[in-house]
Amino acid sequence: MKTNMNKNFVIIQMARTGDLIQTLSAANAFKANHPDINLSLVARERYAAPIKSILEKTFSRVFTLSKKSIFNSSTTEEIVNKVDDFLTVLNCQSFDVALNLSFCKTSFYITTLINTPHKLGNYYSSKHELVTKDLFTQYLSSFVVNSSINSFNINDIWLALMGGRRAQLPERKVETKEGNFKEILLHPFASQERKHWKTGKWVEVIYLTLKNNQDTRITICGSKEDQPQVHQIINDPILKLFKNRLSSVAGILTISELHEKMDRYNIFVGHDSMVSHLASLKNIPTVTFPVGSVRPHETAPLGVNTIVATPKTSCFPCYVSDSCQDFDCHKDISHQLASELITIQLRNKKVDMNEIITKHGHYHAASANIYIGKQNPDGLYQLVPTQETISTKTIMRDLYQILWTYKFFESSPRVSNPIVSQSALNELSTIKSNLHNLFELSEFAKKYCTYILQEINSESPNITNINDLSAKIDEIDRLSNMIKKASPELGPLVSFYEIQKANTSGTTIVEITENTYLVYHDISVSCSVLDELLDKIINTSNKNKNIHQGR
Amino acid sequence: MNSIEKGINVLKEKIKLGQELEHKDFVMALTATLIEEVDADLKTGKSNEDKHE
Repeated sequence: MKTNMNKNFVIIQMARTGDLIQTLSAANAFKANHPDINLSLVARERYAAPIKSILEKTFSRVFTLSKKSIFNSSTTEEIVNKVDDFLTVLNCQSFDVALNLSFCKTSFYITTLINTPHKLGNYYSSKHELVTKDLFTQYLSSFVVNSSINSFNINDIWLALMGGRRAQLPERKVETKEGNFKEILLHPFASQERKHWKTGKWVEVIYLTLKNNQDTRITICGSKEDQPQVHQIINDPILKLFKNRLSSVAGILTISELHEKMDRYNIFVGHDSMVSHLASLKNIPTVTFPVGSVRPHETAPLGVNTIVATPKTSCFPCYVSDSCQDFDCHKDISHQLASELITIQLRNKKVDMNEIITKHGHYHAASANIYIGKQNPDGLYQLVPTQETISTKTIMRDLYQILWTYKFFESSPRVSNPIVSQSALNELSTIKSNLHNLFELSEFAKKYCTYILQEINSESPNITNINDLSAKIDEIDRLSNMIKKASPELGPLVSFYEIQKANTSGTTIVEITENTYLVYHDISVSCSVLDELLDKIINTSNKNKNIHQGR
Repeated sequence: MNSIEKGINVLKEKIKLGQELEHKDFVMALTATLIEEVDADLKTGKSNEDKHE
């Protein structure tokens, strides 16, 4: 019998370098739980090559798919042969488990083509149907892809998918010897324009930070392509006074070299980019400003007491497919607030909103949400708000967190009952009413499943009756789908169960119907749980409102 | 029509008919996907490999 001693897992991650670094972080945590399991990685050459030496510290083998080499072929046969050769090399390894962490067709096909008895994540069946069997990938498909209501860090979901639990994250405080400068590593860039501020705003942040922290130096990092913008920042006239405390390694250090030298920096400042995750690997305290399509709850760099400030603009976070010219979310966080948060991290101070408001006024504090990264008692990484930021979306995110923490980890996190505004109460009532509809539809579907089973078990089953009942279940699914439009906050929940239904196991009509019944039963249970939680919030808010009116 | 185009047409037909696909069919599907990616990159002038894109 095989033991952990000779188990080989292969992780497929075909997304960008930042995603690879986050995968590495989850893999490190998994290795801490299961040091005897060999981990291999399949990635794209262009994203893995810059960090290969870092990846190879954790992964025993790193297989890279190079489109450049594949398409540098003289004939079409050669292209197909090169793709096949890549898979042949992979299949020489005898993997026990393949885990696909990415959501693109390339990764689905590669996972399909790896010969292994166990597969997790998305892949295709032999009839080219997308298979999403495991609970975590079903969650990722519905709550992470195409939704912004997910409350878990993607790292924790990936780790749970691997079968690991994160140990306590180490706390690292900013310590410098007397007389030495405090060093800030600044990465003011990101992969897309919408994900980073313009250089002018960073100039103001740098100015204020260096002015208020005379014992501090800033080093800007980035790629060769970023050099013109770095030049613009460093040579801005308002920073002339601070030239001796401002330098750049952009385009000079490779990513691996930067990683090697990162220990010399006390804090990292930037957007939610690949470098922020690199800093998190080194346990460097971070201050990040996610903007555009970045989902902070999902991708904030891991670390104890990390500071994350996000815009309050209602369209944040947007979708990559949304067109945007104005970048309103870039304006929400003022350079005064950004610089204040950097100073707080640099001085190991706690974020105190009252102090920030006293110092800078409501105007600067009111347009941003400020979070502190913490691990909850279940070891899950979460962004804890520093002030009450109550919107329907945040309430639903909290409620989903309770629901999914119980489903995934059989644990119940404590979430306080917020007092919500009248407009939020009205929205929550609509959601509650649609939850009732979803519950009732599921109960009807359960009845039809039972009727189908009764028909099959009768002495002479009538196929027409079975088809009629099945059509009624289809109708219920169509009506459930309409709830997505009526209450978009319930959309991910409906999508999750659609995926579960599409992946119902069973080879006979009896097995499939029984398992479908269980999915509908689970919908009813989820609706009941959410309904009860919503009840508590609505009642507490109403009670509070009555007390205020009675005074 | 080159061998990839022929392979893709065979693959599409098999999927349409709900037939079981073999290893070589999936290799063809993967090749076709990589070609799509390269085409999209050329059209947009940037990488189109993001998970949410």
